[in-house]
Amino acid sequence: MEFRIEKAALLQALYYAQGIADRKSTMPILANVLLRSDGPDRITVAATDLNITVTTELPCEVSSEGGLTASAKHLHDIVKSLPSDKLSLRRADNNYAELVSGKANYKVVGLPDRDFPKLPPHKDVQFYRVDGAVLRDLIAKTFFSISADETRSHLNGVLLECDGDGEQAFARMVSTDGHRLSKCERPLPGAPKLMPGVVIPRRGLIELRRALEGSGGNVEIASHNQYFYLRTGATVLSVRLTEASFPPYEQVIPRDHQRRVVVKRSELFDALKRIVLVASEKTWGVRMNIASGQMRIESDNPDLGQGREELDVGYQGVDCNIGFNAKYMIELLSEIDTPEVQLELNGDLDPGVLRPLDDKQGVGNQYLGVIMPMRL
Amino acid sequence: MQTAAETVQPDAAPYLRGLGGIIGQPAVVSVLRSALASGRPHHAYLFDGPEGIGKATTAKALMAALNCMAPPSAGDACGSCESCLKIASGSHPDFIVAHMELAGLADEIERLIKRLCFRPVEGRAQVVLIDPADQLTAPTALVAANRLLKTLEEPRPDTHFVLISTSANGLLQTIRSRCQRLRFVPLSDDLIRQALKTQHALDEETALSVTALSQGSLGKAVRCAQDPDSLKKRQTEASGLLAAAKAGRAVEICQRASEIGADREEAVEVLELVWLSLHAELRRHGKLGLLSQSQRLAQALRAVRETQTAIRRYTSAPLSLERLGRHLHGALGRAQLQPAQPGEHAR
Repeated sequence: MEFRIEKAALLQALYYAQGIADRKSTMPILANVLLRSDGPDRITVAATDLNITVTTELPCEVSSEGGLTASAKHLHDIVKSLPSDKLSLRRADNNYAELVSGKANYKVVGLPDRDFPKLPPHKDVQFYRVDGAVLRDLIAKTFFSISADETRSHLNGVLLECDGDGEQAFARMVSTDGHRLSKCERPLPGAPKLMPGVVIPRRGLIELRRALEGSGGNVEIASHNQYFYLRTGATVLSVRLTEASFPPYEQVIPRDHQRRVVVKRSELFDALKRIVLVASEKTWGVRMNIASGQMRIESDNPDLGQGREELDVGYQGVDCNIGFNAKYMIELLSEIDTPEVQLELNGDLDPGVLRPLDDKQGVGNQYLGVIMPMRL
Repeated sequence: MQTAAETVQPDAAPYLRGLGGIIGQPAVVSVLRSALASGRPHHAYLFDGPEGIGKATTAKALMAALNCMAPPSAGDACGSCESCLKIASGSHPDFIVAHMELAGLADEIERLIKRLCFRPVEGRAQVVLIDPADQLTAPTALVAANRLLKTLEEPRPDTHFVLISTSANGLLQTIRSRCQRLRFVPLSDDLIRQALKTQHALDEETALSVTALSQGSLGKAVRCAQDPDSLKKRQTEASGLLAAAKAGRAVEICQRASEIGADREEAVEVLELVWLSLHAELRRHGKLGLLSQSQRLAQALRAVRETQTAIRRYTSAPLSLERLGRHLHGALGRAQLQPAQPGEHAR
C-alpha cells in the first residue's frame, strides 16, 4: 500500500490514535495504529485497546491499496517533527512502514494489517445529531459516583437512557457505587430512543469526555449491538458496552420525604470542605444535627480533633441527627449550580436525597443524588 | 495484502485444522467433538497429562474450531479464514493467554476477570488459556486462585476456560470441581517419529534417537532435537550423579546435587534422564528374570519421581537431590556390593 497525505491531517488522527493504542497490552499489535486504504482517495486511521476504538477517515492520494500497522507513538512522534507539509507512507517488505517527506526517510517496524482486530462496524449504523455540551454535562454530573471496582462491571459505568421523541427527547444518566447514586436528566433533542438503556464503562466515559471537550457544539451519537459511537467530524470513537444489566435504580430513590431542608449551596459546600479536614480519613463521616432554622455539622476524630459548623437553613420540624460521608456530599454539591439546594430526609438511617432547588426541575430535566447515611 | 510467504502451513501448526489436527489423543478429541457438535462445549476444561503431548495445541485447536468462519465439519477448522490466520499469528483478540508468572499473578487474574465481563471482540467465542494452571498451587498464588473461582464457575456463555496441568491432582479441589477433566495420554513412538519427520523435518535417524528419549512427549522430543548440546550436558550430569550414588561417594553426591540443583527446571530434566537410564536397566534385568534387582530398581525409580515432584513443589532442589543420592545408594549401591541372594527381599 502507498499513499500521499497532508501532514497536519495525519498528525491529528495519529494523536487520537496514540492516546487509545495500548502499549501495555500482551498483544503487541494493540500498540500499533492501523492505516488502511478505503478507496482511491481515502484512508482509515484506527487504534484500539479492544474496548475503545478510534477511527478517523482522511482524504489522501492512494497510489496502491492495502494496509499497514506501525507503533502509534513512534509514528506520531516522527510525523510530528517532519519539516514539510506533505508526506508519503508505504508498506515496505517485512511489514515495515516507510515514510518519506522531502529528504527525510524513515522505516518503522510494523505488523501485518490483517492481524489487527476487526474494527467496530460504525458505517452500518445510523447516527443522530445532538448537542455535545449536554452530553458533557450529563457525564460530569454522574461520573464521580461510578463504582471504582472494575470487577463489578454492572456498576463500573454509567447507565445511559434516552426517552421521548424528536424535540421532546431527553437523556438520562445514572451511576451508583452502592453507597450513593446520581441521576441526571437533560433535554437532548434529536436523541435516538434508548430504552432500555446501555451501560457505558468508566474507561469509555473518560475517552468520550475527552472527545466531547475537543469538539464544540453538535456531535453525532449512535448505539448499536455492543458499541456506543460518538462521531465528531471525521473521527468516530467506539466504546464497547458493558453487557451486565444496571440495577433497578428507581427502587433506591426515595419517593417522598418527611423532612425538607433548604440550604444555601455555597455555605453548605464551604462548611463541608472545612469540616472534612478533621473527619476520619477512612470514612469521611460527619454528623448533621438539624433543628428548626439551623443545621449543625460536627466531626470528631480522635487522631486530629473536632470541628463544628453552624448554618442557617430553611427547616421547620422535629430535630434530626444523621451521619453522612462528607466527600459524597462535596462531590455532588460541586456539580450543582443553583444558589440553593434541598436536602430531603426521612429517618436517621434512611437515604437522603440532595437536589438543586430550581423551578425547572421535572421529568426530562432534573438532577439528584441519593446518599446512604452512616451510623456514627 | 497477504503474501504467500505469510500463509501458515497447516503442517507447522496442526491446530489450524481444528481437532482434526490433533494426533494421538482419540479419547479427548472425541469428547470435544461431541461437545462442539451438540453446540454446548463446557465452560472450563482441565487438560491433564504429561508435558509436550498436545494439551496447548488442543486448546488452540478448540479455539480454531469454535471461531472458524468456514468449518468443514463440527470440531474442524479451515485453516485459511481470517479467524484461523489470526490464531496462527497469535493475534486473535479472543484467544486470551494468561501470564502465569508467580510475581503479579493476582493482578493478572484480576485483569482477566475484568476482561471477561465483555463479549468476544470479533469471534463467536473466547478461549482463556491458563497454562500452566499448576502455578495456582503455589502458596503465594492462593489469593489469585481463589479470585478466579467465581469467573471460572460461571463465565459468560461464550467464554471457555482451558486449564493446562501436568499434575492436576495438586490443584485446588475448588478449581478441579469447576472443570471438566480431560486426560491426555503419552503419544506412541510411531506417532512421535512420524510427527518429527513431517512437522519438524527431521531425518529418520535423528527422529529415531530423539523418540527414544521422549517418553511419549512430542514437545520433549522437539526440544531435544533442537538443542543437542544441552541434552549432552544433561546426560553427563545424570550419569555422573547416578555413578556417584551407586558408588556411594558422598562428597561427590553433594557437589553434583548443588550444581544440578542450581536450576530447578534443569534439575527436573536431569532427573528425567536418570529415570530413563534406570528404566532401561530395569528392562534389561526384567528380561534376565532378576526379580530382586528389579524390585530395587523399581524402588529407585519411584524415588526419582518423588524427588521430581518435590522439586516442582518448591522444596530445596540441592537438598532433594542429595536425599535422592542417598536413596539411590541404599537401593542400588548395596545391591552391587552384595549380589542379591535368591529369596532375598528388597529393603
